[in-house]
Amino acid sequence: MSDLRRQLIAVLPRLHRLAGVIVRNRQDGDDLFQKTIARVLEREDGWEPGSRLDLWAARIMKNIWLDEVRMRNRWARLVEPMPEDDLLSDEGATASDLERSTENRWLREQVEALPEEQRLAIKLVVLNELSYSEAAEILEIPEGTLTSRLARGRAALSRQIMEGRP
Amino acid sequence: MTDRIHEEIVAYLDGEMTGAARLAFETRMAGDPGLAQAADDHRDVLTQLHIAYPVPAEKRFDAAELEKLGLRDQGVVTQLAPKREARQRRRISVSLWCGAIAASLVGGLIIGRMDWWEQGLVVQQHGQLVATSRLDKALTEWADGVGSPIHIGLSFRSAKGVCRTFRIDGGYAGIGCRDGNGWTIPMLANPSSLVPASPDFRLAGSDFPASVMNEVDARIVGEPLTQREVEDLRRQAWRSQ
Repeated sequence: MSDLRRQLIAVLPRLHRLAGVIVRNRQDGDDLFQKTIARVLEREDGWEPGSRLDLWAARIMKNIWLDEVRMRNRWARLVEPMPEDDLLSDEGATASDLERSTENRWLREQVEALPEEQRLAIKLVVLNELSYSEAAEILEIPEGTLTSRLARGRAALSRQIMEGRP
Repeated sequence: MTDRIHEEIVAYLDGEMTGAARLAFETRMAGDPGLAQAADDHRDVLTQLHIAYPVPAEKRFDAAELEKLGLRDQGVVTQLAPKREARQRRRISVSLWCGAIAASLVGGLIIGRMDWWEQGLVVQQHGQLVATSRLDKALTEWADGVGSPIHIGLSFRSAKGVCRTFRIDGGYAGIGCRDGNGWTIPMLANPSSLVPASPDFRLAGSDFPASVMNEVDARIVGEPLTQREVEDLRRQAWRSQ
């Protein structure tokens, strides 16, 4: 087994988590994860030994996702969006649970409505807790650009939160 | 509020601002209520995001799943864990080189942003650990003895200001000490050391390891703070007299 494959097994959990953060729907997240692993194995020769495999694989995942987003945008008028997983739950819930769930869903909708570049920056840094240098490497942008995207996205969310939740 | 100020605020809150710049920014906030309010608004965004997007549990991959992914050599899986731990130990030993803080650490401690999925509650800035959003919020807003998955233990005064113990479900435990508008973490114990030494360490419904309590003993000035004192300090933004 190659060094890449050994290292890839070790980073599978974090790549799976990253896919779950980038994509809200669990099935889509699993699909993204599996496509990423397949692409990494296809491009094994492209990885530079000694460099961080997790960031290289995350960059591949980002590119697959952006292709997917572009494809979905083309078909958006014809395809119904998949419901979020928490809308599919049939577990019992109290009124306050439902209220909280509604608020959370509202905020996720605001995040998902951000421009993709801001949304990805927020998801990598805030939700997946990457450093700016790690996130910038995955997104293949300078750290200054990442900071700018983060700031604009989060300032927009702050305004939306102040203007009113459901 | 300009884009530049928003960029400074998010860098500050994300622990990406360097020590001198961070200090200068905190000074500016102290003298600029509008800036301080904007930082609070951004802090609220972080809190709401973490609530709205709960972190998914880390998936474990068995042999069948590895085979499905085209990673078939199952024997390697069992060998990876110790290798990974060894790599982590190497990273820890490198991190512990950071002198000023290493002297205050008790055995088995982990410092810095080790890996991007494993921590996130603290970041390392110029030789000291600083609480980030969720831990910062818990230390700032919660009373003693409450919280999940972060539990606050007890609060006390030290020679350098107010400190609070905390424990994370299934994870680290440590001490946070108020420093300006944030919390530095002078001590962080890893899960393997989270074994309470005696019933004396059962505080406010949570077990804390002996290493944390020994560190409290070394730092505490007077008695632990009462709930009322904690509440008063919280209202005063933890500005200790």
